Amino acid sequence: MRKLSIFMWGIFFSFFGFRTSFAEQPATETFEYAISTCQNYLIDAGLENIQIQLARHQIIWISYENRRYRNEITALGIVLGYASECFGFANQLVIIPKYRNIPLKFIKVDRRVFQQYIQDKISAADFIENLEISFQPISEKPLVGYGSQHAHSSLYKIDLIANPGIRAQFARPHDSAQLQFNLLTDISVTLAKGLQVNGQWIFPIYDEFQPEESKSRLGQFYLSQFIRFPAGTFLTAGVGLFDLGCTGISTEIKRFLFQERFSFSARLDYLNTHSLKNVLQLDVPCENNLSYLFQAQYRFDQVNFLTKVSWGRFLLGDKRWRIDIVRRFHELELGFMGVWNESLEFLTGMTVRIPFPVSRYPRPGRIRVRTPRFIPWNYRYLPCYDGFILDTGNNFEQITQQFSLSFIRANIHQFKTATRYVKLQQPSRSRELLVQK
Amino acid sequence: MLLAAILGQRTPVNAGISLAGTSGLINIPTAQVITDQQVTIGIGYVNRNSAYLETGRCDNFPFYVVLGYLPRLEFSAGVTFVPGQRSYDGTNTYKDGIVSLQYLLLKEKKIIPAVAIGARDIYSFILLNTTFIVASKTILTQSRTKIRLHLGYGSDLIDHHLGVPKKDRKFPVGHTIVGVFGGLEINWKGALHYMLEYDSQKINSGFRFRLHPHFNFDLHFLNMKDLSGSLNLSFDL
Repeated sequence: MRKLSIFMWGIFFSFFGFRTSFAEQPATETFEYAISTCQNYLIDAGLENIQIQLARHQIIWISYENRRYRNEITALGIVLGYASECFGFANQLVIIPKYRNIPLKFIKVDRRVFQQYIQDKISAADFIENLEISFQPISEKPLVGYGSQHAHSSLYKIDLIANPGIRAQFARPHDSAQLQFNLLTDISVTLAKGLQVNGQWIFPIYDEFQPEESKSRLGQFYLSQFIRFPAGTFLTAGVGLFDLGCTGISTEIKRFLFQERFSFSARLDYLNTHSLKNVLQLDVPCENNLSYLFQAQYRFDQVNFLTKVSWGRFLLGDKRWRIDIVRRFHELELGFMGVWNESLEFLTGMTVRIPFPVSRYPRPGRIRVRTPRFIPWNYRYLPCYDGFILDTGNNFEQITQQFSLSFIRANIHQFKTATRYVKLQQPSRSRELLVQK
Repeated sequence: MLLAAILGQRTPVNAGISLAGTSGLINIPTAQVITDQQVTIGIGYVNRNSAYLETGRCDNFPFYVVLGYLPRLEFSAGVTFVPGQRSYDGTNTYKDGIVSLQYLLLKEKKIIPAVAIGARDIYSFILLNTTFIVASKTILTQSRTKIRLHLGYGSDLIDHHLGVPKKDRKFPVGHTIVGVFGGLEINWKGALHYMLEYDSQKINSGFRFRLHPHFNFDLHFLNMKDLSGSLNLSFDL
C-alpha cells in the first residue's frame, strides 16, 4: 500500500515537474512532512487561520491571519522564513494575509530570491522588484485536495486591550490648553468570518474638559462585518454605538484601482444621539442624521504618501470638501487635514498614529490581554466638528496598506528581524499529518 | 555608541536650523532642507533687544520641531515662549505658535545654485510671517574649508490671519524678513561654521558648533552685539 502511495505521488510530482530527488527522499514524505511541519511552525509562531495548499508549477499557497505581531511585515517574514525552509522544492510562494479570516492580498515571492535576500546576496531593491502584490489571485489556484485544512481558528477568542487615550486642545486663542487622559479598555471578538464585535469602556484618569467626561462610561459597542468582493472591492458595515455617543449604522464600499495606488469609496451613515445610560453624547447632537461621503485617494508608492479628497454630507450635516494628506514613516503616521469652513475659512488639524510597545503580543488564546498596536491621535486647531468623520470601525485602509509595496519598502528590515523568530527545531505540536488526499 | 545606536546611523549630519525653526543661518532661511524622514528638535534663546516678540521688553525662547515630511519638503512647527508677557490663558508667559514650510526647488549643481521657496508662520494668528525665495551657492571648496553664499528675497504676501475666528482677524499680520536678505557661511572641517547675515533689518553673526553629527550648538550675536543661541538634536524616524 505504501509502495502504491509513493508510486502515485511519484506520478503526481513528475506530472507537475517537481525536481525533488525521489531517490533521496520519498516525495510523499517530503510533501506531507513539509506541510505538516510548516503548519505547526506557524501555529507555534502564534499565527491563525492557517492553510497551506499546493498549486501547479511547484507553487505553494499559504494563507494566515496575524494578530500576534504589531508589524505585518514581521509576520510575513516569519511565514516566508518557515515556508522557504520547509518547501525546499517549491519555486514560488503565494502568501495570503487575512483579516478576520478573509483574504486581503496575494503576495507572490520567489523562494530563492527571498533566501538570497535574507543571506545578503541581493539588495532589498532587487528583492522588492521580484515581489508581486495584488488583490487578485496571482498564480493558478491551488489543486483541490492537495493541502491542509484551516488550522488555529481565530473565532471566539477574546482580546482585551488596555489603551491610553489622550486628548488635547492647545490652541484656543483665548483659552487655556486643555488635557485629558483616559484608560480605554477595548474588547474585540471575531464571531464569524468577517464579523467582529467591539466594545470599549472608558476610565477617566485626568480631565480638564467638561465635568461629564470625568465619569467612567461606555465608549463603543458595535458589530462590524467585513466583506470581500472580486476586483479589489471591499464592503464594511457596522451597527451599534460608536464614538461620541452616536448610535446607528455605517456602511462603506471601497474599490482599489491602478495597482492599488488609487481607490474610490462611498460611505453612508445613519446616526443618532440617543440618551443612553453611562454614555456621553457629542457636544452638538446629530439628530437622525443621514450622512454620505465620497472619497478618492491616491498613494505615492515611492514615498508612502497618501492624498485623500472627500466630499459629502459630514457627521453634523455640513456639506463640504475635506482634504487629507498622510505620510508614513516606517510604522509612524503623520497626517494633516483641511476643511473649508465659512467662519474660519480653512480649518486644519493633524492626525498622528504612533506604534505602541510591544511589537509582539502573547499568543492568541481564549482570553488575551495586550497593548494596542497603535495610538491614534487627532488634533484640530479649533474645537469644531466641521468635516468630521466618525470612527465606525470601517477603516480597513489601515490594514490593507500594510501590504502595499511602499509599506514593505519602508519596513523591509522587518524581514530580517523576522528571521530571529524563525527557529527550525521540532515544533511543539506533535507531527500531525494534516494533509488531505 | 549608545547614543549613535539610539539616534540611528543613517542620518548624515544635523542640518543647520535658524532661530525661526527652519533650515537657515541665524534668522534667514537658506536653500537647503533637512533630509527626508529626519527630525530636528531644538530650543533657542533670543536676547530681548533683538527679539521679534515684545522687542526690548522680554527675552524670547523659541522651541521647534522640524521634520523632513517629504523629499525636499521641510515642515516645521514651534512655539515661542515669552516669559514676562501676560498670556490669554492667564499665565505670565505668552506663547506664539508658528508653522512653516520650506521646499527645495533646485539642488545645487556646478553652475546652478540651490534654490528654495518657503513661508514662515503661515497659519493661525500670524506674527512672524515671511514668504521667501532664496538661492545658495558654494563658492569655494578646499580640503578643510567651504564657503557658501546665500541671497534671497522675502515678501509680505500673506496679509490676513488664516484659520482664526472672525473677531481675531482685525489684528494686523506681523512680518519679519521683508526685502532682500543674504548671508555668508564659512564651514571649517564640517565642525565649525562662521555665519554672517543681513536679515533685511539688521546684521547678525554667529558660530555653529557641530558637537556630534546629531548635535548642533549655535552662538549668535544678533545686531552684532546681542548674545543669543540655540541647541538642537537630529534623529531619523
